[in-house]
Amino acid sequence: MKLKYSTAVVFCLFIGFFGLLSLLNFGNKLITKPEDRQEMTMEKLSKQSLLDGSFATSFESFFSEQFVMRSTFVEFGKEVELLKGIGSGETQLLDHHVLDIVQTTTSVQKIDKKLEEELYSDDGVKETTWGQILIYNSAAMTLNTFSETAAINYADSINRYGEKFPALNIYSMLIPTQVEFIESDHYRSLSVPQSETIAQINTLLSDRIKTVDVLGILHEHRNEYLYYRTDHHWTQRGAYYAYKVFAQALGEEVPAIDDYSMSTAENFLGSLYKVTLNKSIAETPDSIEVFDPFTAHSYKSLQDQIKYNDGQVLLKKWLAEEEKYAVFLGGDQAIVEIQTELKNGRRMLVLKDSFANALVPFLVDIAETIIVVDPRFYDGDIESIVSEYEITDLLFVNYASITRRDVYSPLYNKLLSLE
Amino acid sequence: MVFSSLVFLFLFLPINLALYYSVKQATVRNWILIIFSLFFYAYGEPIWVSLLVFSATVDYTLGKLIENYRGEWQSKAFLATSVVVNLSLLGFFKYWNFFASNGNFLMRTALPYHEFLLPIGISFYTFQTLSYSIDVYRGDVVAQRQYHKFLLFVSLFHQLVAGPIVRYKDIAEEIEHRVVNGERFSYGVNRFVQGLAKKVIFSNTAGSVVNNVLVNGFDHISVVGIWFGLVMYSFQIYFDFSGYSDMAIGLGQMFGFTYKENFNYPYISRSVTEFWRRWHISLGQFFKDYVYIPLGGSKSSRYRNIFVVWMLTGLWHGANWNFVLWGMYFGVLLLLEKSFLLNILERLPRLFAHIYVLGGVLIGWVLFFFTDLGQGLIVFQTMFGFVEAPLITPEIVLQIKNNLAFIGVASIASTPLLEQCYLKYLRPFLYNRHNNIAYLTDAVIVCMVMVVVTSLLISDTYNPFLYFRF
Repeated sequence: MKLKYSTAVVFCLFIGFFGLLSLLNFGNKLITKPEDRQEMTMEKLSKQSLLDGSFATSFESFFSEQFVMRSTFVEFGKEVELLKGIGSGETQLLDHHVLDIVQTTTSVQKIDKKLEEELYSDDGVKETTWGQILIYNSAAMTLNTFSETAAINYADSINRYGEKFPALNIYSMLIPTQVEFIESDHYRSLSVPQSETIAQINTLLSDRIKTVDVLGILHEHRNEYLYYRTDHHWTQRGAYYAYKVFAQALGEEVPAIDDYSMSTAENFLGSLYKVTLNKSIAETPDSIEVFDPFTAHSYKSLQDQIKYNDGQVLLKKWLAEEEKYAVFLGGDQAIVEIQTELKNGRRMLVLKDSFANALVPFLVDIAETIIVVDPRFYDGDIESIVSEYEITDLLFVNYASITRRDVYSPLYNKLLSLE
Repeated sequence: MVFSSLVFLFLFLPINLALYYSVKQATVRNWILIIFSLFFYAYGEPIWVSLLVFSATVDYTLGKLIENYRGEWQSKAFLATSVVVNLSLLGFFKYWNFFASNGNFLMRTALPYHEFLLPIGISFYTFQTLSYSIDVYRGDVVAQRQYHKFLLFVSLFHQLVAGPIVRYKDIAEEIEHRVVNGERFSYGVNRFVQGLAKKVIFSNTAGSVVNNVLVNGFDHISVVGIWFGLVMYSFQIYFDFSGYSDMAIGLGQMFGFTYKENFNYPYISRSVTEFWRRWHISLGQFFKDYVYIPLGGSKSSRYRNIFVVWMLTGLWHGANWNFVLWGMYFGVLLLLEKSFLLNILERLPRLFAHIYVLGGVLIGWVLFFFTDLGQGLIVFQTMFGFVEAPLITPEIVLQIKNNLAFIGVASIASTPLLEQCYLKYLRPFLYNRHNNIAYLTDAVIVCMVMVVVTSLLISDTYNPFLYFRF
């Protein structure tokens, strides 16, 4: 037998076979999983999208998503990438696209192209959306960087709220991320210290804004389970300490953490695992602890429907799903309303990113109304909410890494209709 | 569309191959290639494909006219028209903003800017059509009388967006009759997969480090960090560019076209003169044949000619002063080598020559990489310790550690060592066992590379397209 042309044959079979199967796969997915997020992100075929090339771009990613045996290829790809270093690489720096992390946690929500543009472009200049993930001590964490523009604009946006709503108590809470508390000075120095960036923003805030310093208490308890190893968020235990500081600032007593009734789910592999598929962090999956608030309450969305919502801020059915962090509020929601049986006259508005999701359930015990708005998804205005719900307290909750790029200030400004 | 994308590899290419080989008539095959080529270009740049067709139509017409009026003054006039049209296209789309901003700065004029991005591949196809008209004028080739065949030459997707610069005379024969057989096809597959590996495995890996160290990490650069970043950039640009050329050559073979080699292990050179005989060969040849020699070559005003050629070479790479400086930097090095340096290099031990070339090229990449001259200056100062900067940062230590194996493999892959070992030892050894074992080994290697490349493309690691500005 002559095998002279086996290279050509193997190559043609390879590209033909996988190409064809992926195409077939394509049709399948479209029909059987209409709720698939990729279907939503697929650009509509139109004259406009064809001409500006956006259809092509979105088709590229769509094709990649539908590729046959995709997950096997992805896992193998991540393995191959590790070969470039020496040793098994217990400590590593990995690249990631910022949007990847957002997508893994908000897959309940759709992140469409338009949103991506809003989030990550500024004056037509595409900002760097690449970041780095440090794998250290079986935990993955994003590195912090600092953009002065981002810090100034963020503080400026919050100050605008101060001017616009003179009657409200306004609080700003910036939550440091895990990398701030790792033991090794050496690896901690890879990241811009969040103690400094938080302090810098705080000095830029006007006297109208009360800052809630959670860094100190988190540092004090840094040896407890405050951050997930496989996810970029903090745990609800971490959020508890922040809640304690905040509640004390409001003059409220906070029960000890052990007094809460707690449920736990094991085997949580979060956003940073999904982005890196790193084996060393997968060996020690996270467990997710959930603390029930003491106060009876109702929970509902004012914009989109929330999966598994049974009227409680903790949606425990999510604990059985992959995206376990969605147990808190059901993931990032555009706008939600919580009514409690308290009658203390405190009506709160929380403007936030996903870090706040773990914190809000505690707030149920200190307010009669809580409205939570995620500026990435809410497209209404804030003034009408403040007047409709007679808001008394406004709390900004963001992770301290908002200084990496100027994302939140334009979003917050938009809610004020100032821009 | 780019070669290193899933849509190209798993949809465009198999469909194109299947259709191409399902018909026998040459004309139909030509049209299939034309339609796929135009689609390839239009996929990401639907508007600018018209520019490509325009350029092809103009030079097709002018080529015929030049030939019809051979020996008369009209012939010269038509050639001049071709030169003006092609250079105007390039001048307007690629250089207008550059000239306008410099003009506005120097003469306080208020020339308007245009806002569109550079149409992809314009630097390549304008040069290709221009060289055709010149060659027809010189009588080096016979003008093409069939429009679709000329359009085929200009639009061929293999080399359309990233070269090599293919001259009409090199493939004139093959446009008329192409021989395709299993042997050529297999060679083409090998070459294409080699190029794909260079791009996806080597260039992208190096590129992501470059992005971290020299772009995102620019605010906290260190001495070692800069050198490390530049070494990685040297890998990135070599593997990227030569990978694209390999893929073009390979695709050409699959469809029956022979393109000339464009890279020949440039980093093993022992002089900068040699480096430029091994790096982007088709561009050097173009400038030599159409600028250097017409200007008088080495016979008259040699220094001026070298200077002009290298300024233009620099400018060809981008409409920015840093590219002009980059070109002139090499012009100066080449002049120095021609006057005395080559003699000295020959007498020195080989190692010195290699260090000189690699160092010289690396410094060249600083000019090339940093389009902002201010940044470039900071980099130079940091590299040689003229400004205060940390020697190394923990991030760089980690980056180097995380990429150490890669640096080793990439270094070896930049030399002919692997190819030599394969051709001299492994292949003969396998052939001696049995021919089929040798063929199968090739097939297995190709298959493994395809699996790795596909995995890396799907897992969506860093995969930029470097040629937007060329």
